[in-house]
Amino acid sequence: MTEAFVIASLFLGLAVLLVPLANRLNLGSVLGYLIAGAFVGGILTWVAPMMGMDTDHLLEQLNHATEFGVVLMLFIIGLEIQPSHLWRMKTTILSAGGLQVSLTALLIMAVAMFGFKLSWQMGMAIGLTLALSSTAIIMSTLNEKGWQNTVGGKASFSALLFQDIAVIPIIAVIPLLAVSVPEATEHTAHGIDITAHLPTWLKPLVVVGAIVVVYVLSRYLINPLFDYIARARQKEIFTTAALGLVTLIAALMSLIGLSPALGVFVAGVILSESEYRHELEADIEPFKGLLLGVFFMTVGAAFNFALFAAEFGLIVGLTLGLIVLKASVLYVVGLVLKLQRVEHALFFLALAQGGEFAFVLLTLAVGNHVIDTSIADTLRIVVALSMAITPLLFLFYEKAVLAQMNKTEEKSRQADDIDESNRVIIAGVGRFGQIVARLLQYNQFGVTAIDNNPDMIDTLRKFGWKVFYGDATRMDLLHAAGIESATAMVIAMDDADKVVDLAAYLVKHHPDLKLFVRAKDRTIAYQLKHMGIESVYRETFESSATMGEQVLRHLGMRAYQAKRSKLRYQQEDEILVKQLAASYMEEDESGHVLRVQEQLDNLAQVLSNDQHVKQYSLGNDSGWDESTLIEDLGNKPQD
Amino acid sequence: MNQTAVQKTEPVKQKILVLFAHPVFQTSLLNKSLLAALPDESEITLHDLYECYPNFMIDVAHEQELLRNHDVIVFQHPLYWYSSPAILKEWMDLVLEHGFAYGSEATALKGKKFISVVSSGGDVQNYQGERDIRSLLKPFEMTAKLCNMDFLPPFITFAGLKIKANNFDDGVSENYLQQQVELYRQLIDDLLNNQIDSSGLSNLNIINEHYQNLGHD
Repeated sequence: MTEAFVIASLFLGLAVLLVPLANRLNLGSVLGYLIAGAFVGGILTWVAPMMGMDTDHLLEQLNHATEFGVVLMLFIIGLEIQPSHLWRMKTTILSAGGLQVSLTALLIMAVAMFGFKLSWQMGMAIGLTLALSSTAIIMSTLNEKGWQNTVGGKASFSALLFQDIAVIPIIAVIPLLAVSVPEATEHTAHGIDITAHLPTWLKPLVVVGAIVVVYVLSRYLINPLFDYIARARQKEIFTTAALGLVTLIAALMSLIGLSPALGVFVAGVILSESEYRHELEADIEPFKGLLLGVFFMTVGAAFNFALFAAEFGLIVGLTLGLIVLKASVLYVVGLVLKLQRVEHALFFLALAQGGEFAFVLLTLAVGNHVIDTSIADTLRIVVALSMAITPLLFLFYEKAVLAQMNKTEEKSRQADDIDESNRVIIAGVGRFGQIVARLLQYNQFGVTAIDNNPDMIDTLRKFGWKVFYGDATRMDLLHAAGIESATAMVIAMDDADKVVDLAAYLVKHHPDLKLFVRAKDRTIAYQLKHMGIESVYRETFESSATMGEQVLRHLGMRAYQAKRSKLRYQQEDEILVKQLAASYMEEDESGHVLRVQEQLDNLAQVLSNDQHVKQYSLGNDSGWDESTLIEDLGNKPQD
Repeated sequence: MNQTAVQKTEPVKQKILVLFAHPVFQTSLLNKSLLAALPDESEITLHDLYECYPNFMIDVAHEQELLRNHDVIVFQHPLYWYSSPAILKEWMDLVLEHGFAYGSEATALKGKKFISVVSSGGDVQNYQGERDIRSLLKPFEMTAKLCNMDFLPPFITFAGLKIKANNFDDGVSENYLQQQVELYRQLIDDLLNNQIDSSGLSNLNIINEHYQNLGHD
């Protein structure tokens, strides 16, 4: 037990130290785990003998335990693949992913066979293994930079999706590539195969039967079971059931000599259309994250430094060769997909590395005697290195490709800055800012836009807009966009926190600049109002009030009465927001609650007031009220 | 010769456009009663401006098309501060463009009949002397004449406040509104059948007198 605690502390402690560091350095968590693992490996070779243990054996044991992390990962990938969604994307997925995987695998196979004189089986295994890219690194980087919805980002996602699915047949194919088949492959050797004694012709039937069982289980039994558990309202039982489901399917698959990963993947795909999909994902995610993290650490711990030092030239050459080869294939695929300059660059730079699946597949291939251990060790280092270089490629994309776009823009801006005196800067030209920008453009006002979506920039430039790429909260970018000479600034980014940050910065450093700010919701509006910003626009305020107006009309109210009613409501609510903003920011939570209560009481009083109700029937306007006139009938005016 | 005679005895029905403006129609009594008497004829178009344009975003092309397609233009509204509610003024400002409604080239409205149908809260006595109702409505008359339209004296319904308050006297009887509705029905019918001629009405202050005279006859 003591050893277990020591080793667990080593792994977890180093992960805690190094993974956030790797993330901060833009290296991605997978690389952080690998590096942490390498440290653990170093320490273990020193600590393990003291506890009377064999380091290699220990790591192998750990590796088996954490392979469950890979199984969980495949389950989650399955959950994310909704067949209906997949079907809609089928053309892109096939052309982006299919072409990339097959071309890359073939080229690498050719290099292995003719360059290194390896057998075709080994070449194929290596080709398929290295054709895959790192979903973990790419997707997290794309999300972090906000590029996931760009054309380049979507093309990358499609290719990754294809790769993730392709892993399943690759896992099935690799054992078949074994040159000399030993009595039993190691993959099944450490399990119990109940089909071992069955006649050969029966085996396929058993396999089909098992898949049918998985299908029936997932399709018809899971929903009622989860309904039952959900009614019990016990969160931990739900988690238990989710994990139990995965282990059950994995066990079933192992028992008949199939890959557990394949089984849970199929179950995941079937459950992806279930209403419990998100709960399942949320419950499994932490386990997957933890186990996968430790799995990568065991890979890192097995990192062969001696080999790296000995074969330094070869390994660096192979790594650069791999990146160039993959980037070239992706470049061609990008041409087929008709990607434009900026998108194209993102696509072929992003996917040019080996992926985390390579570690899984290499372990599998070694276990099945398809690839020699020494070659696998070399390739592990190559893959890890190529992953380590990926953040540098992203950095290159951002600093060279995208920054170049800004430089030319800045030049042209300075050139025609002189004749533009009514210039407005719009930060964020997505679904909100775009409308503002277009309205200004229709009226011939100069607009400079800042956005972090490269596609948007490309498109808007075609229409002659001045657009800067980047994060609008960056001072240098604001300067490049000409903040000093602008007359007004529209802050309309999607990210509410950035909106508040930018507004606060501008209020402080450019107090004379007129700000128009988008507020995601009421509390953001409170914060902005409290900064003293007059022009704050709650993003759903206008449309929801207009919808209310239309519902009133549908209920038979006169159009103009509904209109005035809406306007009055908005007016009252704006006053309320202004009053509440002060209390929200200045008082603590309970103070604010009291103030809200007070305001609600006032509102209730106003609403129950007869005069108020009468005004609503008059479209809120007592100028049209005849009742006092009628009362006054016959009275003489007083002198 | 024979053909024209047939046409004269059986005139083609006129198309009437009622441009109606009332910001609080939900509280109206006079206009509700009058509009209820509008016959259900395909030749009559009731165009409720506040209902169509609560945002005051008047569709000028559509409005001009409506004007072209009708022979009689009726402005129907309550009297607010000796004039029409705001939207009708906005409508006039935007729709009666130079070159369309007036100007040397403009013929779109030429010869079409124009009449105001106005309701007021005050009694008939309130609109005499310097507040004579016909002179208060002079801007509408001048507009119609500048557009080369055939102007008819206005049709007025008085005493909205007294009627609402059930406060009847010698001047305003309980039947007053009912009588007005009847006159309105008759007026619309005459306009529809082209039975009314401005030349014979030029000496009248308001068109109500014409029907009251007919009644006395």
